[in-house]
Amino acid sequence: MEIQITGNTGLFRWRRCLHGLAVLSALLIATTACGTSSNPSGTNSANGTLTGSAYKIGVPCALSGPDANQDLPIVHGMETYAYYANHHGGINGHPVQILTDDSQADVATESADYKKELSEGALAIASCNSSAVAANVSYFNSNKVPVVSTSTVSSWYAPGANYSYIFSVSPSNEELAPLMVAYIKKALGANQGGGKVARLVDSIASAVALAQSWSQVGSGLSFSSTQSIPSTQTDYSSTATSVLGQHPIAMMTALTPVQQAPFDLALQNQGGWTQPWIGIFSAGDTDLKDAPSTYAALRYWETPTESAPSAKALYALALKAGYASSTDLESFWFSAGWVEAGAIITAMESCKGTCTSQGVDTGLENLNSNFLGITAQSRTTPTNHIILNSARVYAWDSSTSSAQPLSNFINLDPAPTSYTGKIAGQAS
Amino acid sequence: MNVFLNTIFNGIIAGSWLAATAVGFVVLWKSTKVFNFAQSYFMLLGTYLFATLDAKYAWPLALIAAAGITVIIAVLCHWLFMRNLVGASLFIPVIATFGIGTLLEGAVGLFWGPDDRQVSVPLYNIHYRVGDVHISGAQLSGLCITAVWIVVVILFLRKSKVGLQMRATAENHSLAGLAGMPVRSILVLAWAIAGASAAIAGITYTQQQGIESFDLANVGLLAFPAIIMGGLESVEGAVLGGLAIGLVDAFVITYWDPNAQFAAGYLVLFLFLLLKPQGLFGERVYDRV
Repeated sequence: MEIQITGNTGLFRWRRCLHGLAVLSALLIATTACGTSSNPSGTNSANGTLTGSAYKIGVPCALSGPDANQDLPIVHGMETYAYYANHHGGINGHPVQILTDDSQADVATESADYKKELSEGALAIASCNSSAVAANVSYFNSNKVPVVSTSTVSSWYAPGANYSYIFSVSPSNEELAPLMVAYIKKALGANQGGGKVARLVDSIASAVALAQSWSQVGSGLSFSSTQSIPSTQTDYSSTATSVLGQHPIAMMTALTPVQQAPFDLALQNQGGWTQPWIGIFSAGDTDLKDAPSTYAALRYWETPTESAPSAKALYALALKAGYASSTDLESFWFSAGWVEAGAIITAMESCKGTCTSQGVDTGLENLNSNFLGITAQSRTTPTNHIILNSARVYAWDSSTSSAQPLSNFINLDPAPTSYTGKIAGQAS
Repeated sequence: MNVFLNTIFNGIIAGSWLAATAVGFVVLWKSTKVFNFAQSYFMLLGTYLFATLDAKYAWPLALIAAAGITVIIAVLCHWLFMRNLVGASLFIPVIATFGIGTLLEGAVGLFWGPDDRQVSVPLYNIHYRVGDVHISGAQLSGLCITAVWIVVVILFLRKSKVGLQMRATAENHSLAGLAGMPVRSILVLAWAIAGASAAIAGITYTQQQGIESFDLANVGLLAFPAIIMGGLESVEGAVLGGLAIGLVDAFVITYWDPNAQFAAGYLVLFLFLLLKPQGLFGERVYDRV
């Protein structure tokens, strides 16, 4: 008689199957736990992978729709900076990760995205939409979340204003002018009385007002009359001739990228420039001259000589990172994103131990302590929330016939080829 | 440095691309009696095409290709919009060219977006110094290209059979047609020359700046004073007018105020309209009663 064992056989097979699954799961969990173990100090492993937990920055922006033209370059600028940081050891071994969601520039959507990204572990927020920031100030305050923005709404940044966690990387004329003048004075040293400082600015009211602010600082420097350059300027060679013909001892500029590039080229064509020079980008909003201006002042342009390391290296870096197209790099908003990320990542570098939102906030509060080697004289207490990390300082290098950066910005040396760019625990 | 001599040189360089722009205007006016307000936008189109091609190919090839494509677009504009307006009153074709300009501006914005673009600067590492005058390779390159183009156009109009036919067509379309001249082909050729002139002017101007922006469309408006000064009927006058306006602009920028550049040019335009409306080399038309 043949006995067929049913039911119990199936159950027995199922139990063996379950045991196998349990063992396999345990192995998988153990492996995963080892791979993602939080290491406060973080290290670079032998293959270049950063092993610390990711430091996340949330940046909800319009990734599609009519505002994407402006917002996408912001995100790409931030991702490029993060890429750069991750290729240079991360932040004490922790990789930087940019979280973004498509808010379509809608305040309600962006408000929800802030909360989402913070729940996903973002330590700070970079803003694409000042209206959304304004609508969520109470939330940021109560949750102690630092927010960096390129907008300048004067009331936000006044000492004592209840925008304790909002920072701007766009200094107003009143903030920027004394520091730019102080830099020129320091660069001139004993030669301050040897002539006049040339001023060349975009013709919009805010840039002209900045030029006036330079001479109103009371520095003792002598300034030539301001040359304001309209957007329709056709002959930059004559502008350069005019500036050089005055034999200035230094130069201060606030031009748009479209003005700056041909002016630099024209200077180069007429023998170059050897004196101190501080310049920022004019971002071109048309506030009245007494109102703060919006400047995102990273000077990124690519000189035709292709020897300015900042611009060329940034270009190569961004393309290698795959985070930007050539049109991004020609957008003012790419530099805005770059500067926002720069402020947050620099603040993260000052975290003691594992970074938290409060640590980032403290870092941002202290970011102004050493601007271009000059103590920020305009800081007041309570803390001034205008971050002055964005002005490019440069001087003419006759050996390369190009403007070379002098400031203590990050040195955009080529990324090491051995680094894989992977963040531990992430699928490749 | 000698500011005065450098200003003169800068003026000649600026005048060279103004002259190229003005030549395109005048050739089209002489052949079709159409004052082409879209000329600036052909400049814009040509330079954005160049910026795109320049990123992939050597700049001389990119220049030729961009000018060629601009010529095709210009001919298409004539074929689609302007050929049926031949013989219409002056006002209607002018309005049509405004419309073409708007379409071109929109198309450029649609395809390339509003952002600025980098372009190659030819011979950027070559500089000469003649006394106190600084001369760059880019300036020489631009000057040579526009000069060659202008000379080719003038010689073509003066010496070639087709050029003679163009001048005859400009005098009287009907008679030229009755004499067996290919009037339609000549009109197409006029638009082609206008498109090529605009592209070459815009590209050489942009190459000297190193960067291309949407403001180029406004820059082309500086050619109007050059045309009025030289005379609408004279290609040679357009060249001299362009050089003269270039010098005026350079001196205004160097010695006075860059913001006065356009105003100075248009002041010259109004002076000529008041005192010598036919320009330096134009033909004075007398009505006899």
